[in-house]
This record gives sequence, structure tokens and C-alpha cells, in this order.
Amino acid sequence: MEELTVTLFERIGLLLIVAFMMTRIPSFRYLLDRELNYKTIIYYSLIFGLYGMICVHVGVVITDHVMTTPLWTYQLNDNQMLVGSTLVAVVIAGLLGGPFVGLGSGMIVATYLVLLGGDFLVANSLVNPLAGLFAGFTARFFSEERVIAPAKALFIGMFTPILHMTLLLIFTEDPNKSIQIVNTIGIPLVITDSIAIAIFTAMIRVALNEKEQEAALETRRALKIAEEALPHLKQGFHFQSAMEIARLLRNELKIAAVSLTNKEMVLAHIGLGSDHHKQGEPLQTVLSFEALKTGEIKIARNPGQIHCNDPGCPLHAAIIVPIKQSGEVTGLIKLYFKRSQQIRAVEIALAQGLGKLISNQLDVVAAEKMKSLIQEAELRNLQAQINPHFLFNTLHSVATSIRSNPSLARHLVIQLGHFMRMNLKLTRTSLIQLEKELEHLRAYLEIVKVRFADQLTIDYDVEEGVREAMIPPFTLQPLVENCIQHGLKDVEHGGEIRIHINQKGNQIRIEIQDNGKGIPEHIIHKLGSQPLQSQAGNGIGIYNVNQRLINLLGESSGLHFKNLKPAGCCISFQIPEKQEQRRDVG
Amino acid sequence: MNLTYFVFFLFILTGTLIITYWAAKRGHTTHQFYTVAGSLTGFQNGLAIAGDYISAASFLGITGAIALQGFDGFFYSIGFLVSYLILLLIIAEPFRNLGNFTLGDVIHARFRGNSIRIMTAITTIIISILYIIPQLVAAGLLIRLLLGIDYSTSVFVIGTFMTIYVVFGGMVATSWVQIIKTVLLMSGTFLIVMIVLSRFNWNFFDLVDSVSRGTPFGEAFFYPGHLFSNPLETFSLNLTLILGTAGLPHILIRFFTVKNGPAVRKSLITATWVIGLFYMMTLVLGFGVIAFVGWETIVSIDHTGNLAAPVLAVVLGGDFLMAFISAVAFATILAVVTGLVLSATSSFSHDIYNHIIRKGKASEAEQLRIAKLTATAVGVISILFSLGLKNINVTFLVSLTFVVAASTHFPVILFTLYWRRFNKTGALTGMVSGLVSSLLLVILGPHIMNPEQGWILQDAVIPLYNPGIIAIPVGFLGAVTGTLLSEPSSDQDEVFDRVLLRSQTGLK
Amino acid sequence: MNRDMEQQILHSESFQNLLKQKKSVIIPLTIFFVSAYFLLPLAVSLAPQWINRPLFHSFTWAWGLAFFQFVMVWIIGMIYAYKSKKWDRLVQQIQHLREDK
Repeated sequence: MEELTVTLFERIGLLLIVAFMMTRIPSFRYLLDRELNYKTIIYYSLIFGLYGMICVHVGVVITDHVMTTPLWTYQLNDNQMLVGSTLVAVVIAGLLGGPFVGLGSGMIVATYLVLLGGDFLVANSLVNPLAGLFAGFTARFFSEERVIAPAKALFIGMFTPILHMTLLLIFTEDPNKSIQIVNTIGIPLVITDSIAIAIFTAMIRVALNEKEQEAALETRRALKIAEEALPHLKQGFHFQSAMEIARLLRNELKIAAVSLTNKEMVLAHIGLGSDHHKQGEPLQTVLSFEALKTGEIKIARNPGQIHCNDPGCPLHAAIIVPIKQSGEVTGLIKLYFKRSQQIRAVEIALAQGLGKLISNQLDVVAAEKMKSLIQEAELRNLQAQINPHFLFNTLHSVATSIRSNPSLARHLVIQLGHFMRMNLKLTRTSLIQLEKELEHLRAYLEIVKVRFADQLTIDYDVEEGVREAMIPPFTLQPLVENCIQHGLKDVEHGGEIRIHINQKGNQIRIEIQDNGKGIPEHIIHKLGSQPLQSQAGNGIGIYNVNQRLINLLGESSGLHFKNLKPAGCCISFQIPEKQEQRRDVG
Repeated sequence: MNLTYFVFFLFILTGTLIITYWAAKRGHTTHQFYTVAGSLTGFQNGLAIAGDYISAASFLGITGAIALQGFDGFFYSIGFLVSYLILLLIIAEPFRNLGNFTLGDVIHARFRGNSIRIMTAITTIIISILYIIPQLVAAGLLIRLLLGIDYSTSVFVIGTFMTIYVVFGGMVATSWVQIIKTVLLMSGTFLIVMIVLSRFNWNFFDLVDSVSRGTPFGEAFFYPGHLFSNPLETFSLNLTLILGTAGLPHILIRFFTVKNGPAVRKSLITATWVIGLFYMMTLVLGFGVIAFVGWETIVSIDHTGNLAAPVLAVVLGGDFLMAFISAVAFATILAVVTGLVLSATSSFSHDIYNHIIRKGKASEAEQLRIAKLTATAVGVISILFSLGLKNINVTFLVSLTFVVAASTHFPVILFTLYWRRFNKTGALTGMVSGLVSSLLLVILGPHIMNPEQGWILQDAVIPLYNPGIIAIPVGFLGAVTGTLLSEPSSDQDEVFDRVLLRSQTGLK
Repeated sequence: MNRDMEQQILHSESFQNLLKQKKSVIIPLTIFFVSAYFLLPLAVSLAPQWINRPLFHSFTWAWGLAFFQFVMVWIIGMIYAYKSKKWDRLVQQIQHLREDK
């Protein structure tokens, strides 16, 4: 008995080598991860059935009490019995894949054994499906883990050879012979099978752990990138911030090069090939333009697709990820590789994730900015509601005309009340109907007309049917106020303000012109893209109006400034006629 | 020492230690230690109850009894099984709704004060230790027989292991050891049944025929025999069996290890199926012994019949099978004694130490520490007793346990749950009278007082091997008298109303 | 829970109903199985000729009664489980009573 044990252990060593090799094959490990469904059950059963057949041949043949260890057995005679370790395969199948896999692989092994022939056929073959089934059910019952602990597997593994022995005692023509055999091979099989099962289970666990650790590492990396990129993203998508982000990405991802672009040119390029891929360079890659247009990831797999003019460029493959802000593509992140084989599923998934992450971050940043703009507008307007100067001046006009022209005074007071009421009402929403904004403007203009009656004429030209369009509140009135405060400040009389609103195609065009001194050259570029301190200090700045227009209605709705000949300036912008649903901000 | 046996026993010991290790990692609260925080499923708990209940006496003893005496042996099985209906229909759910960890908790839910807790703790500890001793002795003998290890060493080893399971693993380890034991026991027994039947070509009645030819009794083997010649004795035994289970503390605490009423029901029903099927299988085993070993042979090997099952195994499958069955018997013993150690421990450390000595103010850590110390003490005491009682026939202790349980605990539990007029005095007198009468009657009975081999060499005063028929009514009477002779408690209605509501609906 | 609410629930229709239903099932079942159980030892001791008549094969009526009790335990278990489900619903109703107050 001891000799048999040692021999079996030796042979099982072979089995374990095969098992170990199996756990190194990536597709096997991939299989371990998959959800158990109809197909995987069949795959598993086949694989383990095959393994079981190997186990058969690793066994020992007993012929009339003599043990032999042939390399390959084709047929067994009636007085020969194969003592194999098939239970190792079948039990592992059950432990990993559940009762059906155990059953399936067991049946494969059983069939093979029947074909092989030999003594005690019923017992030897029947034990396999039974053991597989048993292992499958008990694993479920005793453990909730994906792969059962080796210690528990040891005990389940111990039980199946016992089952085998009792089957030998049940399905037998010659009880005495059975008893002898059982007492010879029983303990060796119990020991060797259970230990082999435990070791195999431990191997599988190790393989799974590796996979899990890999996944954990990737996740941690992605999160780190997102976290560290945020402060840079807050500054917007410019040259400086793009450099920092590109550097961060390259350090973390450890790839050949990273470049960030906006819609026209490269904002930053860090890594290999930075000698000829430079900041400010216009975009060349066809795939980049496609990505910008479609908003989908594109992969360049050879230098031809990268369209780099430099023949010595080491970058041969790239993943191009579009970045979106408020749903519109604003730029690209390009991940460069030296060889196309380096682009694996991991990298693509990472790129996708990054794209989404950074787009989200940009949206968050924009939303924050929007919120602060609206708050600023609210604040300013709250001030404007009780703006002392405007109020005093208007009241002064009321006072001066109340005796001489009571109806005019009355008109002024009503318009003032109207204006202030509208100030209150409009604060809450981010977009209102053009109709309402015009009312607000008109109330303001009524007052202005009276106050500056001899200095200023106002020409008001609004096309019919434009009233439904949506516009941010406090857009028109501040712009007109700006003309009065700055453009027409020093004009004693003859000042004109013209307001044109008409429909062009599916856009509504709004123009505010004055014939004042115009906007100084050095300011006109910065207007709208940077806040400016205004001396009068109560208006809602041009910057604020412009930013809200752009954020809520898109780039195309931004303010355009032009100085007119011979004098004056024109502020113009357009808004969509019908408002498609945009994300509500704030 | 035979390698085969050694390997099997080693596996059992290692396996249970691994379970204990895993359990130790999980259990850090008293809730875990005493009741697995109620997290066992009904099915698992049912297996554990069966594991707690089916002792080596059932497995080895009943198989042997059926082999030697036919119907009389089977008779015990009926009593063991039907007693579960008393639990299921009358006791289990109300009991669970009233308590937390121990029997003391349940009685205390109705009767405040320390005296009750002290009393239940005493009775629980007595029952537990009385039950542990015959198990340990049997285990010692078994190991000596199979492994050739000296009796004292065997008892010491087993006692130590059972203590380790409880100290480090608490109820978690205990439960899982019992669950695994049940699985092993059922499958092992089932496999042997299969072997027996296969030799008769799967014809059960051929087996029966062989049995009716195989004993000197002939057909009369199937008739009830000498156990029933004395109607009083018979009735007494049956009364004890049906009421005893409902008083066994280690079974009662298993109602706390699941999370709600339906789970309790499922546990009990699972247990009845397992236990019922098991006893059916022991019938086949017993018959198998006659068929394969032979009546005369078994009588000459061991006239008590305790070795019938292992001998059957050796005949059917040689050393391998016998080693397996012995290992199963060994696991059986381990599981039961572990459960008993736990119940004695919880009774002392929860009822006496935590509630009485420390007035419920002990911290979790302290309670756990004391529980573990208590378990160690219980283990040590049991080992010492068993070592001392080496050569004494201690199987009567098993039936004594049932008598004490039936006469001391059952009346009090029943009245606590259902009798309005019941009061604290009644509870105390009930328990005392039950305990004293059972102990006294056994001492005065033929187990102890036996002219040939008893401790006291005289004719028994009360010639009843099983004094249940006297002790149990005495227990009831004691409870009733104590109640009626004393004043009803001032808040009787209020308290009983609360208990009724809570026990029937769980509402506090 | 205070005394008043206790009393209300105790005297409520749901609770009384629950008790009544339980009694009507448990008491008859208990009487039945206890009687069946003691029938065997009593018959064996007091009327052996009657109980030892053959039933099937070598088994007597005593065995029949014995096997019957096994089946009885399982069946009564199932009946009890079935009825308990109904009682569980009643208990839920009673619990709702308490929450409503």
C-alpha cells in the first residue's frame, strides 16, 4: 500500500504539471472569469473531460495484485484494473464549474473508461459523473467564494475516493475480490487524490488572484489620472494646461507619446517625436478629423495612417480619443505607440475611459463656471434693482417733470416700476423667451428715452415672429446700457442707438449699433473673453453676457464687436430660432 | 497502529480544526459566539440539530440493539423521532420568541430575578456533563480499540479537541462540525446500506428472510422481546423519550441560531427528515449485521452490541470501510460533545456570570473571555470525570439525561409558556423536584443498586431502569403544588399577557 | 410597548383569531400523535397477540404501527408548516396594528 501511494504521487506529479501549464494559458484564465452559461459549461466539460482522460493514463494498472505503470494503455483485460486519478479532474470540474460541469466531464471520462474495458467497469466509470455532481453541489453549499478554498477542496476531494471504494463494493460479482482491492488502493487514492485536488485548486486561486490584481492596478491608475488632471482641467483647454495634462498622461501610462489638440491644432505633445510634433501645429491626421467629426475613438495602426511628414518618426500607431464638452467635440487626446501590437484591449478600454472621464471633468468645470456666472448676474442684478444712481436719476427726472408734464411723469413712474418688476422676475431662469427680454429692454428704453430725450434717439426694429426664441435674461439691456455708458458717454446730442432683430435662416440675428466713439482697439479683442472693470460699476459686464450666451447657446452665439465708420460700434450676435433641448445648467 | 485508521482519524481532526480556525476569524461578538448571530439557514440549522442529536449511542448502540434484539432496538428510534413533534408544535417558536441565548433567558422573560437563572444553569450544566461523560468514555474505548492508543490518552485528546472547538470557534465552529458530521454520517450509512442491499440483489425482503433465519429466535426475532415484558418499564421509557428531547438544553439553544420563526420550523422539519431517514437506515444496518456477521458472532464479540456497525463494515469492506465507519462514529461523538460543552458554557457564562455576578454590565470582550474560560473548565471537568469512570458501564447515564430533562425542564417550559397562574415559586419547586426525584430514583434503581455489578450491592429499591414514569409526574406535581400553595404574583396578569403576546407574535 | 397597546392588541380580533386557529390545529394534532405513539407500547404490553399478527412478510402490525409513526411525523410536520404560513400572515397583520397606533 505504501508503494502504491508513492507511485501514485509520482504519477500525479505529471498531472499537476499539466494543471499548472493550464493555469498559465491566458485563454484558460479568461475562461475562469466568464459567467457560467450554456456555452461555458460545455467548454469546461470538454476541457476537464480531456484532462480526465489524461488522468486515466497517468494511473497505475493492477493485474492480479501486481502493479504496473505502462505509459499508454489501449485495452484492459478482464483481470486488469486501472487505478487512475480521474477523480482529480472531475472533482475540480465540479468545484469550479458547478454540478453540470462536473456531470459533463464525468460522463466524458466514464465513456472513455467504458471503451477501455477492464475489471469493475461499472464502479470505475460510474463514480466519475457522480463525483462531479457531488463536488459541484457541495462546493455551492459550503462556500460562497468563486473558487473554493484549498482546505475545503481537500475534504471534498477526500470523500470522492471513498465513494469510489464503496461503489466497488456495491457493483461487484466477487465481493471478496472487491474487499481486497479496496483495502489495497483505498488509502493511497484517498491521500493522493485529495492532495492533488487541493493543490490544483490552490493553483487556480493563484491564477485568479493575479488577474484580479492586474485589474485593480489598472483601476487605480485610471482614478489617479482623473484626480490629478482635474486642477489642470479647471483652467480650461489651453496650451499650458494641455502641456501639464499630456505630461501627466504620459508619465502614468508609460507610452511612447501623448498629444492634446483642440479642433484645429496641437496644443501639446510630450514624448517621442516632440521634435517635429509641435505646439501650434495644425492637425494632419485624417483620422483626427474623422474623430472630431464623429466623436468616436479612432485607431491608427500604421505610420501611413498617422500622416506624419517626418520619415524618421518613431510613432507607428495611435489611439485617438475625442474630448467632448457639453456634448460638442472640443478636442482630442492622442495616445501614441511605437508598434501597433502594443495596443491591446486594456489600452483601448483605458483610452475610452479616459476620454469619458476628461469630457465629464470638462463639463463639470463648465457647469461650475456657468453657475458662478449666473450667480454673478443675479448678484449684479440684485444690486441693479436697488441701484441708487439709476433710481435717483430717474426719480429726479420724475420730479422735474411732475408739474410741467404730469402724464410724462406718470409714464416714467410706471415704466420704472415695470423695469424693476422685470428685474425681479427674470433672475431665476437661465433662458427666457425673447419676448420677455424685449419687454425688459423696452421698459429700460422708455426710461432712457425720457431721461436722455434730447441727447439720444432710439431706433427699434424687431421683426415679427422672432419672439419664441430663447435667450439668456439680462442680455439686451446690459448691452444697450453699455453703449450709453461708454460709447455715447461724451455725446451731448445726436446720439443714436439702433436695435435690429431679424431672422436669417434658422438663426435670429440681433444687432445693437451706436454712433458713439466706438471701442478702443486695445480692448476690442479682449472684450467678452475676459472680465473688464467698468468704471460705472453697476452694469452686468459684457464678459458675463458673452459667456452666458456661449455656454447656453453654443460658440456660434457669442458676441461680435465691430467699430463702425465713421463712428460708433456695433455689437452683434445670433441665437437659434428654435431651442433644441440643452442641458440645464444651474 | 494501523495506517488506514490513522489517516481517517487524522483527516477528521484536521478538518474540524480548519473549520474552527475559520470560525475563529469570524466570531468576535457574544452574539456570534453563542448563536452565530442567527445567520444559519433553516436547512443548515436542521442538519446541525440532527448532528447535535444523533449521538454515537444512536449510531452504534441502536444498530447493535436492532441486531441483537430485533424490534426492541427499533423501538428507541420511534421515541427519539416523535419527540420532535412536541418541540415543533408546542415549544419551539414560543421559546425562540422569548429568549436570546439560553434557557435561562426564556424563563427569565417571565420570572425576573436571579434564583431562576441559577436553577436553570445548574440543571443545564448537570444535564450537559451527564451526557458528555458516556460519550467521552465511548470515544476513548473506540480509539483504544481501533488505534491501539491508551484509553486515558484517547479521552484526553478528544476532550482537548472538543474544548478547542468551543473556545476558539464558539457556536460557529460547533454548528459546522455538526453539519459536516451529519453529512458524513448520512452518506456513510447510506453507502453501507447500498452495499448490504446490493449483496441481496436489491431485494429488501430477501434480506429480511435471511435475518429471520439467522437468529436463534427465528420469526420471533421480529416480535417485541424482553424489553416489553414489564408494561410499567415500557411506558416509562416511552414517556421519557417523547418528553425528554424538549428539555435538552443543547437542542433548545439551536432555536436561537436562526433568524426567525419560519427558519425554526424549517430547521425542525429538516431535522425530522434527517433523523427519520437515519433510523430507517440503521434498521437495514442492523439486519445486515445478522445477515453478514451472524448473531452468535456478534454476541460473542460484544454483548452490548456497540461494535456491531464497525464489525459489519469490516465484513463488507475490510479495514478500509471499517476505518471509515469508525471515523464517522468518531466525528459523531465529537460533534455531540462539542454541542454539549457549548450549552454548558453558555449557561454558566451568560446566565451566572454575566447576569448574576456582573449584573449584566460586563463588556463584550469580558463576556467572551469568561465564556472561553468556562468552556475550558467544562472541558477539563468532563475529561477528569471520564478518566475516573473508565471501567464503569456508563451507558445508563444517557437515559438518565433524558429523565432529568423530561422531569426538570419540560414541565417548567410548558407552564411558562401556557399557564397563567404559574409563578416563580412554582418554577423553582418544579425544577428542584424533577431534578431530585430523577437523581434519587436512579440511585435507588437497578443501574446503581445491583447485587452483582452495581455500585451499591443490594437489590434495587425502585426496580425501574427508567424511572421516568415516576420522576416526570413528580416534576409536574412539584411545579403545580408550588404554584398553588404560594401567592399568585402581584403582576401575574400583566406579565403573562406580555409573555403570551411576545411568544405568539414576537412583539415586544 | 406600553400596557394599553398590549391590551388592545391582545383583545384585538386578529390576535384572538390567531390563537383560536392555532389551538384548533395544534391540539387535535397533538392528541393524535401522542395517542398513536402510546398505542404501540400499550398494545405490546397489554395485548401482544393482537399486535403481533403478521402484516406483510415477516413484519407484524407492531412494525406497521412503528413505520406509520415515521410517516406520521413527516406528514404532521408538513401540515404544521403549511398552516404556519397562514399564521405568519396573521402575525404580520397584528404587527401592522401596532405600527398604525
